[in-house]
Amino acid sequence: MAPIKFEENIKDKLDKRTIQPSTEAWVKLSSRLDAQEQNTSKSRFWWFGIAASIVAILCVTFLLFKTPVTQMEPTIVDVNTESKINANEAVAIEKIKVSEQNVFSTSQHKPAQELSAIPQKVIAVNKNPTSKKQHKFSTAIASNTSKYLEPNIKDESEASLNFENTQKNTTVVTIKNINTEVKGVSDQEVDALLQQAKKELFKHRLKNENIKTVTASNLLQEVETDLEQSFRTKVFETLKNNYDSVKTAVANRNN
Amino acid sequence: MKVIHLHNNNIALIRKAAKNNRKAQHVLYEIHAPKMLSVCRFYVKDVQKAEEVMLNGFFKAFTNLKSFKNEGSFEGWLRKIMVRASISFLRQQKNIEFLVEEIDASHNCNNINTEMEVAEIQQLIDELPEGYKMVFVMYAVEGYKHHEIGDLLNISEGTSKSQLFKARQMLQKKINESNKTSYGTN
Repeated sequence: MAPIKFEENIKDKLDKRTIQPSTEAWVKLSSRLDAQEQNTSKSRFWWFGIAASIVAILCVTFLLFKTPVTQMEPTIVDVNTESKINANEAVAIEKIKVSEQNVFSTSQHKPAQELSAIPQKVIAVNKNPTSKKQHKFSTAIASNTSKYLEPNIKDESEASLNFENTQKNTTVVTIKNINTEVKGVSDQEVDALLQQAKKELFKHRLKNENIKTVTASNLLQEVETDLEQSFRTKVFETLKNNYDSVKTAVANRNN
Repeated sequence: MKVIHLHNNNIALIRKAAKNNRKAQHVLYEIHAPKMLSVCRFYVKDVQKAEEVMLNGFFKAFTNLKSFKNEGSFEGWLRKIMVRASISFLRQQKNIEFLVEEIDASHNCNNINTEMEVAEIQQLIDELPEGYKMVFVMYAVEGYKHHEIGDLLNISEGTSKSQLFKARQMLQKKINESNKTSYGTN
C-alpha cells in the first residue's frame, strides 16, 4: 500500500503547518514542572529518610545479634570475676590479718611494756625502807596500775569494736565491689563471704578471750580444735538425740 | 559551520533543560511548541484540547529528558511523544472506533484534488472517524509502518491496512462531494 500523490501532498502541507500556542500555555507548563520538582525533592527526602531508617534498623539488629555473643562467653567473665573475687577476698583477709596483727601487737606489746614498767616501780618502791613511804608508794602503785590497766581494758574493747567495725566495713565493701564489678554474683557467694566474715569475727573473739595467755600459733591450734570440737559436738549431739529417742521408744514399748 | 554550531547549541540547550534549567526548557518549548501543537491537532479536533495534549507531551519530555541520548533528532523524539500523548488522550476520551464498513473500492484515490488548502485538508481529516483518522495520519503524515501502528494502537497489521484503505475511500468520496458542490456553485 504505497503512499499516493494526494497523501504526499497532504504530508508536505501539514508538515509545514505551525500553530502558535496560547501565552498561558508556558505558564501552566512551568508551574507543573515546579510542582514536579518539589515532589521530587520531597521524594528524595523520603528516600533519604527510608535509607537512614534502614541503616538504623540494621544497626539495631546488629547490636541485638551481637549482645548474645557477649553473653555466650560467661566463662571468661566468670573466670575474671572469680579471680577478682578471690583477689578481693584475699585483700579483705589480708586487711583482717593486718588489723588482727595490729590489735594483737597493741594488745600484747602495750600491756607488756606497761606491766614491765610497773614492777620496776614496785621494785623501786620495795627498796625503800620506811613503811609510810611503802604505803604511800603502794597506793601510788595501785593508782598507777589502775591507771595503766584501765586504759588497757578500754583499748582492748575499743580495738575489738574497731575490728568488728572494720570487718563489717570490709565485707560490705567487698560485696559492693563484687556487685559493681560483676552484677551476676550469686547468693551463694555472698553467703560464703558472710560466713567467712562471721568465722573471722568468731576467731577474733576467741583470740581476744585468750589474748593475754595465748600466742598466735596456739590460737590457731585452738581454733582448729574448736572447729573440730564443734563438729564432734554436733556428731555427739545427734548421737545423743538418737540414743534418747531410741531409749524413750524402747521404754515406751516395754511399758 | 552554521549547522554544526546550531547543533551544538541545541545539545547544550537539551543538557541544560535536562538539569531542570527553566530558561533552557522555555527556549526549547518556544522552538518546538508550534510544530508540536500542529501534530497534536492532527488527532484532536479541538485546538484547546490539542494544546493540553501538547503540554502533557512537553511535560513528559522535560521530565524524561535524561533518557534522550542525542542519537536521533530531538524533534523526532518529541514528535513521537506527542503522538503517544494524543493516542492516550483519545483513549481516555474513548472515542476510538475502528469501523468495519463496506465501502465501494472502485474509486481511484489518485484523482483527488491536490491543490487543497491546509485548513480544508484538516477539516476533511477531522470528519473521518477516529480509527480511520488515526491510522491515516500516522501512516500518511507521520510515516509509521503498519506494524508500528498496530503496536501503538493495539490492533493487528491487517486492521491497520483496512482502516487506511477505508480512510482513503472516505476522503475521496468527501473530496468528490466538495468538488461537486464547488463546481455547482461556480
